[in-house]
Order: sequence, then C-alpha cells, then structure tokens
Amino acid sequence: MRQFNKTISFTAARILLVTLLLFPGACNDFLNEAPDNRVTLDNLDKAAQLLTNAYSIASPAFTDWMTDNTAYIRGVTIRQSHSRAFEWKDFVDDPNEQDTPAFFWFETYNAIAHANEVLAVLESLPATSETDKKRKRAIEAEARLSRAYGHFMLVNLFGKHYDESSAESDRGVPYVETPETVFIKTYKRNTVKEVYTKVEADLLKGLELIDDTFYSNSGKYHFNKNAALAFASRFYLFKQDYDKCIEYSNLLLGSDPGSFVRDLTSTEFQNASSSPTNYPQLYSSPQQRSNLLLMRKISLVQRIDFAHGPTSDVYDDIFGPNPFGGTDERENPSYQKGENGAFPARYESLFERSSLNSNVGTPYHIGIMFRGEEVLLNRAEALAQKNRITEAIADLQTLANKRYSGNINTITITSLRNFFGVGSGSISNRTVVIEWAVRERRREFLVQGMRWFDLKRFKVSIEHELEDGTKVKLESEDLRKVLQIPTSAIEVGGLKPNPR
Amino acid sequence: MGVIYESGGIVITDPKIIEFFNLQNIDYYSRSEERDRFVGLFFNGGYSYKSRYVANFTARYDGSNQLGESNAVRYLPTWNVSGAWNIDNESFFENTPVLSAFSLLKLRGTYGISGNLPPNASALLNLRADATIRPTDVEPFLGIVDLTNTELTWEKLKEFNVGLDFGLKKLNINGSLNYYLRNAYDLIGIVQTSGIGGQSLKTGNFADMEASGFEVSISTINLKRPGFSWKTDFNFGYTKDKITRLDFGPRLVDAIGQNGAAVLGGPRRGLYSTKFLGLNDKGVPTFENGEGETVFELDLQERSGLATTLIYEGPNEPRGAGGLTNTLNYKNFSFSFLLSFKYDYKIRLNDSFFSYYSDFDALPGDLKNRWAVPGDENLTNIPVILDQGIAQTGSAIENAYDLYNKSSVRVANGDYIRLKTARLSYQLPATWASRVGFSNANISLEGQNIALLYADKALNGQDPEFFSSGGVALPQPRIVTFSLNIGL
Repeated sequence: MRQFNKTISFTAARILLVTLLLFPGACNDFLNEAPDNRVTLDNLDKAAQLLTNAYSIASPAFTDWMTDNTAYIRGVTIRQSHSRAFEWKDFVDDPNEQDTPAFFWFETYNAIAHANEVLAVLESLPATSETDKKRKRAIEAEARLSRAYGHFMLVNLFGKHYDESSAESDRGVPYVETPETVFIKTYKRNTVKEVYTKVEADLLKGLELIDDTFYSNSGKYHFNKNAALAFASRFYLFKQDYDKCIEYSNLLLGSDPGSFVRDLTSTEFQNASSSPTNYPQLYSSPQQRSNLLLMRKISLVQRIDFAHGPTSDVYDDIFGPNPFGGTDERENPSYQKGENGAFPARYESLFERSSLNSNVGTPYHIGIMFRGEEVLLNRAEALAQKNRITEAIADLQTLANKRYSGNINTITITSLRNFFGVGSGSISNRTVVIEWAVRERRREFLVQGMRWFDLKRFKVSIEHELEDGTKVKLESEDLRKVLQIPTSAIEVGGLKPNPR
Repeated sequence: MGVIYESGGIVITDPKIIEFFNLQNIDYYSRSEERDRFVGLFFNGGYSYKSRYVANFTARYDGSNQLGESNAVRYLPTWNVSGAWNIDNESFFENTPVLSAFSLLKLRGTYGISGNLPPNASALLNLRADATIRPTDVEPFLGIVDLTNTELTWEKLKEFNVGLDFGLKKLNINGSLNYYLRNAYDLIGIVQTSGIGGQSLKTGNFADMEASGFEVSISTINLKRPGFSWKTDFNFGYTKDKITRLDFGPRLVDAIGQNGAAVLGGPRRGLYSTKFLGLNDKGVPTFENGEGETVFELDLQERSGLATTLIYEGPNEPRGAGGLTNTLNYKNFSFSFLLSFKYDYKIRLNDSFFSYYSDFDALPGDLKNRWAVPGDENLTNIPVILDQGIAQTGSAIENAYDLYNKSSVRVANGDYIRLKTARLSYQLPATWASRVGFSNANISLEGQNIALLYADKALNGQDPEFFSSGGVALPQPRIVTFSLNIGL
C-alpha cells in the first residue's frame, strides 16, 4: 500500500513537471494576440507614417515675447507663462502648457523619439525592389533630418549660442540616437559642440539621401530637399561657418533667388490683405514656393486675445525709415490686439475642438519653419561676414524688390552708409550690411520666433516696461538668455541645470 | 433636416454634416477592439490529519496577453500555503481546565505570493494610427503611445496572515482575531519623466509598500430570557501602510492633489498642504516657500522641496473602520440598529476659491466672510474677490488662490460615526393573521443613512463619505421604508 502511494505521487509529480515545462511554449502563440489595435512597425509604409509625427507640435514662436518685438498689452488675457516670458522669469508651468520651454522640450523630444524608433528598425524592414531600397534611404534621410532639426532647436534654446572658443564646455542638451527601452533612463547633457557635431553628421547624411519623390501631397510637411538645404544654411550661419552657409544657400537659391521670395507687393497678396483669413492662408500656403517646411504648432501666438506682443510703438521702431524709400508691405495687414497692441497677420488662427458641441479644444496654426527668404537673408549676412559686400547687397535688394512697394531705390554700399549716417566714418561696410540684414530679419519674422535667436547671436540687451512703468532688463550676456531646462529633466533625468 | 416633429419625429440627416465633421477634425464614428487572453495553470493539494491538522498548498502559473508580445513578462508563477490547527479536536482539549471553557478554538495561518496585472501598461512599443490635423495635406500617421519598457513586470504581493477563531461556552461569545502583514512590491504608477526619451508620462514599476493591520469581530448574546433577547455584533479593523521604496517622489503639484500622493516613508495616499501664512493687507493669501520667504506662488513642478515646502496632514484613506450592530427581540417585536464608523484620516475640501469667478460658478457661502477692507486680514482667512484687471493679467497672485485651496485651512478630519440603519418590526400573532386568511404577517419600518452622529465641523455639513467621488454622483440618500409582508 505504501509502495503504491509513492508511485502515484511520483507519477503526479512527473505530470506536473512536464506540464509546467510545456506550458509556456504551448501558450505563447495563444498569448501573442495583440490586446488592442496597436500597430507593429514592420514595413516601410508604417515607418514613413511614423515619421509624419517626427515634427514637434511645440513652436519656438513664444520666444518673441522675450524680445524687443513685444511690449505690455492691456485688455487681453495674460497667462502666467506669458508674463513670465515677458519678465524673463524661469518658467514653472506644467509641461502641458503650450508656449513654454517645458512644452517645447517634451514635445520636441517626443518628435525625436519617433525618428529614433524608425532608425532603430529601418535596416530590418523588408525592401526587395529597387524602388523600395531607394525609399528606405529616403526614409532614413527624413528621420535623420528631423532628429537633427529637433536637437538643433533644443540646443539653441537651452544652451548658449555656438561659440567656437567655449562650445566644448558649454552645456548643450542630450543628443538621443536610440529609442528608450527601460522605464526610467538617466541621460547626460552633451556639450554644445557635441550636439552641433552630431546635428551636422545627421544633416549631411540626410542631405545626401533625401528624395522628395516618395512624398504624396505637397511634401511641405516633411523634410524635403529644399528644406534640408535651408536647414544647412541656418545651421552653418549659427555655427559661423560662413563659406558653408553660402554654399548650401546657393544650392537652394540657384540662379533665380527671387523665385524663393513671396511677393507681398503682388496683386494676389494685396487683394487678400483685407481678409483676416485669406491673407494668412496665402502666406503659409504649401503652394508658396518660398515656404519650404511647414509644421502644425499648438500655440496661442497667433491669437489676438492672448499674451503681450507688438504695440504701435514697437511697430514704429521696427518699420521705421528704410533705405529703399518705398512702403514696407510687411507692416500691413495688422490687427488691433487688446487696447494698445498691433498684431501682424501671418498665421491663421485654427482651432481643434475636442468634440462637436465643445468650446474647448486645442489652438494651433500652421507654422513656416523654413522659408526661402530666410536663406536669402542668411546668405546676405554670410556674404557680408566674408566681406563680399556687393553680393550681400544684391541679396538684400532681391528681397526688397518684393517687400517695398512704390518707386524703390536700388541700394549701394554708399547709399546704405548714408542711410545709417555713417558716411565715410570708420564703421566697416561689413557691419553696416549686417545691421541692415538683421533689421530685415526682424521685419520679416515678426511674431514667428526668430528674433530671440538673433538677439542671442548678436548679444543684444533687451528692456521691457511693465504695466506700472518699471523697467526690467535682460543684459547682453544675461544667463537667462539660456532658458532653464524643465525641473523633471533635472530631478528625474539627472541633468545639470543651467547656471542662474 | 434634423428631427421632423410633425412627421412623427423622424430624423433626416444633412449630408453636409460629414463635411463639417471632417473640417473640424471630429471622427464621424470610431472603432476599437480589445482582446483579453488569459491562461492559467493551477495546482492544488490538501491534507488533513484527524481533523486536527489541516494543510493546503496552491500553485498557479498565469499568463496574459495584456502586456504585449513579450515573453519576458507575460507569465507569473504564484503560490500559497495555509494551515490550520483545530485545537478543539485535540484529545487533551477536554481534559485541560482552561481550554474546556471554549466551545471552539482554531488557529489559522496563510503565507503566499500573488500577482496583479498592471492596467494600462505596455512592455512593448505601442503605436497608434490616426490622421493628421491640418487644413491641407491630410495624411495618415502613426504615433507613439508607449515606448518599450523591458523592465515592466507584474505587481506582486507577499502576504502573511494569522488568525484565531474562538467561542466561549458560558459567556455566549464567538469571535475571531486576525493579523496580517503585507509586503507589496514592484508597484506600478505614473511618473513625470525627464521627457528626453520621448514620453513625458510613463507607467512602470517603481514602488514598494508594507502594510500591517488587524481585524477583530465579536458577536455576543448579552441577554437571553424567555420572550427577550439582546445580541451584539461588533467588528473593528485598523491598518497602517508605509511606502518603503519610491524611485521617484511626486512633484509638489501631485502631492497637494485631492487624492494625496505616495511619499517615501509615508502612507500610500498621504495628504499634503501648502503653508498658508494668512491674508496680506490686500486680502490675498500668502504662503511660505522652502526658503522661509513669504510668497504668492511656488514651483509646483519640483520634487526635492517637498519636505520643506509642504505640510504633511495625514493619510487620505481611513486607517480604522468598524461597525456595531445591536439586535433586541421582545416577544413579537424586533429592533436592530447599525452604527458604522471610520477614523484616522484627512480629507481635502473641494476647491472653492478662485482668482476669477464667472456666471457659471456656484459661489461658496464662505465668501460672506471674505476680506473686504484693510484690517479684515486679522479677522478672516477668506480671500478677497480679485479685480478683473488683476485676475487675468498673468500675475503671480492667481497662483495664490490655487495654493489656498490646497492649504491646511482647507483640510478636514474624515472621522465620522453614522447611524447607518435602524429597523423595527412586528410579527403579527398567528391568530390575528389567520383570522384574515393569512398564514403569517409582518410589518416593519426601516431607515437607512439616518443620521451622521459625528463629523468634523470644518466639513460644513458635507458628507465625509462623499468626497472625490466624481462630478455627477449623488450622495447616499436617506431612505425610509415601511413594509408589510404577508404569507398566504
């Protein structure tokens, strides 16, 4: 009896053991069923679709509130983040608050993650035909370019402007090249130099492989060849590598630079100027040849009922006398904003309702992230830096021909010197031309988030007057010109904060 | 178009509505699928010796598809052992004088590990498809919902439980005592990340927690005479929990929330408050920051300043709870009532004060006592209603109102005693019932949620059991029922 019992238990144990061993294998197929309609990244179509999200929904345009383009406006809703920007206080907003450094940080790294997921699996995706192989390279190019652009914008907001003498020690941002696969990963900040080197590598590889033929629609919502060239133009200008800036700008602008400048003096723009929707639609349309890269941006900057902005005083300062003598068509159309604001029509204010009957939702606009005019102005500045004064002035004239209406002058270095009242003084031609180029940039990019970077590049101090008349000032090399990284990046990510 | 009322209320849809939906980026319809697959292997053994010693053993091996196609984390083995000693069945039981007073004596114990499948967590890259929101160039896209998390695992719980069941013959007392020790680990929560990996909020395992507590339940028959009896049931439990590992503490904004937050060394849901320093000479609330300065705003995104910037109020969940039932029977009358109580916890009052009130706001009655003229700051803690010119100009003062709602003056004790139910019934004598043709009849009057006998005055009449329970939920209603039961 005893013997029998033992046999039974022995057999039972064996059955149990065998079952336990077989169990996981037998059940894997059964459990491989996806729990919901998630998508597996297993072909080139899906890789390309994932890259559609590799463009940040955060706009750098909020930086305009920190510049001399902005003054105190009464009678509009000022959110806390707006007044912090205006007074250069460190932001403490929730990362979901649009138009803040934290929002820009989180959303831009989110875009970069999309590019990295694609690059991580791209080589293993099936591509047999020649077309597919070419497409794979085009996808790689788009992923690299969008990743480089994201990091480039981050390093210029959260790091010092590139300075060859200190870039090797200046704190930049982490350059992320692989997907995050653990729960919480700690990162370290690459130096500004390291970030620029990596951006350059991705940019050049992207330029080599980019192929616009695989884009449907206009292709303007993706990094196309022209957008990549414009990126290179800005990158090398910021890196103070002026020869390369000129080289890539030339590749875009070719023999007819004027074709990359929208003509604000044209009847098309003039006819649209009375409509608050038609004008911005025309301005940011993918059909404009000068618009090279468009992105959807969640932001309040295009709203005339929120935040500080340009006033008529600021307008007078920006659109003062010019050496061409005509009327600057960028000054109008503009709208009244609050009690004392003047707001230029650039972007159409769009709104995504959260549901049919809802009055809440997401405010957004279609932002122009690269455009022909910028490349032309980059080249003019780079040419001036290289003392190629005549060519630089020619570029400024090309832009002016489509900006100033009426009988306008053809400028020369002499007329430009006279305009600034420095005649035959000791100030160099180079300085004079750059001064005008930067003023054109201010007119051209008003409320679009470029001025901040120019003020950083040229170390300009900024003064704002508060409601009660007190003045606050941002010094030319103020530490606050380098925005503070989000608190979570310091406390969870283990990054060093920027000095204050 | 629309509802045609005069034709019987038929609905005719304007086809342009679809165009409108598309322009507004509203889905005309949507479709989703969820597939839940689960396999379990179960092994169970039991042994009993002479009804004195009982042992049980259970082993499970569970697998689920909810974490995605990842062999590493989808399976979880768990087990459990339990034993009992029926002392009253021992041969020496009858012969030992001390033990013979007992009618029942049983010692039980359990030890085991169990697992909990994390909801809304994915171990593998989770991509979702959608269409872009743009005026032109609309195209399908894929977006990251969750990044890969190779470290994700089940939430696990080790539990040790010991209990004693007893009955005393002469005193007519029956009861049980229970003590438990729980060690929960690899608990899952949501963390605000550095964002660098691309996902700002991540779900993962990052906390361990210990909990211990006891439960007592006793029922007695206090009096038993012919025609009269009085029974009492009493139960009481107390539990204490403590976070023993927390890789990432909460941000200040998380800690001051309505539901509390987990902080290392504190309970699972600890309630934290801002340090309110009273109103300033303009009636605006002021606060003390981590450096001891008087301020209107705090950096709520930071984590490190929690200990110096906030005050710990107490646990947000009741630690102690229990109930007391008395049942009296006298002849055909029966009367019973239940008192229930909870104690040792704090609740945050609803956010009532804002920098800006619109016509849609229901204003709190407390505003009657608000700051109105200079000097009032010495008399009241209710902040001033701000001028619109200040309320919407982005000043730091707006923050002060949010912080005020999360301060110590807006916290109440949750302790309460409630007369939950009372019931009086009368069984009609059988002779009366039969006279009208019924075999039996019973009338009763019962009330539920009759009275809140004790609650913190700071609640101002609000039900302490009805907090953070959603916007459209109704508080427990008071119900009075009269019933007549007849048997034919």
